[in-house]
Amino acid sequence: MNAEKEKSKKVRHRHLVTMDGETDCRQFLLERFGLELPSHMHIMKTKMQGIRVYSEDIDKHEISGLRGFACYSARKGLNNFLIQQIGHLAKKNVIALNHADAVKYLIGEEIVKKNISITPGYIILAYKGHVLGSGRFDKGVIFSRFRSLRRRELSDDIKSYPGRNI
Amino acid sequence: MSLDPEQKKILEDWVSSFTDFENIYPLPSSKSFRINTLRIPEKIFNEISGLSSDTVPWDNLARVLSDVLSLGNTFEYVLGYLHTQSLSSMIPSLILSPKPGEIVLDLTSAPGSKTSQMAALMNNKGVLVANDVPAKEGILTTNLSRLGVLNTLITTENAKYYSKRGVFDKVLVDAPCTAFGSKENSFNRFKPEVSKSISGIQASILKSGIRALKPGGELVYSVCSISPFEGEKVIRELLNGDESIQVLDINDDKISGIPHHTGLTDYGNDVKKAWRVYANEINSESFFICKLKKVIE
Repeated sequence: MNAEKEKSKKVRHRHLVTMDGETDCRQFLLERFGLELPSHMHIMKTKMQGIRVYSEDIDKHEISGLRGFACYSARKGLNNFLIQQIGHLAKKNVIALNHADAVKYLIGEEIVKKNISITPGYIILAYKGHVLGSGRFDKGVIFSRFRSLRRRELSDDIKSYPGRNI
Repeated sequence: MSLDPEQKKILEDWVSSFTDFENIYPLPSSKSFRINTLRIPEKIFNEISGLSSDTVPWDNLARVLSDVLSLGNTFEYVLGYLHTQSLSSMIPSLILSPKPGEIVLDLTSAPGSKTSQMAALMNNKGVLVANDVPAKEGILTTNLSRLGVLNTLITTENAKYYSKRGVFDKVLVDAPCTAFGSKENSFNRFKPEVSKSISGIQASILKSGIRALKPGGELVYSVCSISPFEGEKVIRELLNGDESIQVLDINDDKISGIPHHTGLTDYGNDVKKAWRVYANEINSESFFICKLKKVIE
């Protein structure tokens, strides 16, 4: 049982990226998603092997504190909240889901997509132009990266985001 | 529902003008939320959302839910397009009215509802320091990241002894309180001795907030309690012999439609400029709110 758990853990983390600073983070977003961080977003490495994203104005003042929010940590990987915020700027590796699959994603279920040709790794999941978050694509299956504590079955639907074709 | 005669006697002993207890007994409040403009413009939210809600005359981003559904189980919530927040708790940030580019402190920030509202008012520009005790850092961080707040610096200092002095353009002190008169059943649970003892803590936090202000800076003090010990008395004691602090009128046209009463007269003319917002009139929680200005160092 333990060996099985260990194996599943390894599979789960096989494609997680390791970032070691601002350059890694920017390069990863650009290479994987064709996504450039908006200029008002600054990023910095923290002591705890993490990377935080924050607004440019913070650099103009000498006040100390934990800046903005985590966009990557060695333990949890890429932050879904960051992807929700900037994912609409991505140019590749974005998968548009239908309602049934969007609901599956948000409750953490795997989604089978055999006929998609994407290299294994992080993907961005969208529904009607709204960015739901990130997932991991491997061998025709999308694994949800929606945080387990936040997984929930939704009771409503939402209309398409005007002007977005993802 | 009415006030227990014994509790009524205690309140009457506190302050002679505080006599309208029966009219302020809180009813079950409405479910409300705020559109998070850091993640979606209001116009687009109105187009894409299927939530059945009513607008509020004094804040174009506030909505009162007409449905009975749980907001947490909606696409709008999961996507960070809205934040569940009581109508009354939106008022202190509107009164403080932080602007893009300002340096602002939220001294008791968790869980981050007012902080994220202020970040939205600042359009993620300027600096917003969100301070609270270390135990609340987790919930604060989660809410701020879910809502896309980028201009915050999170600190975990004891609010009573906040170390920065003369730094901030604006400070919000939403002090911990007994929530007396704020929610349904709060009258039944109320213990006057707790209200008396907590007022000392509130006064210390308020003084700490004043120290953090730049000369000319503004501070909003609020509590979700209508106990005069936590409202008027705290302000009265702050003003005692201190000419560097002024109580300001709250006279912004945008929020003038909010149903409110003046501060209780027993505590002086200055304190009358404060607002008392009663739960049953706003269909939300009760609040005491006072706007102050630091005129000299």
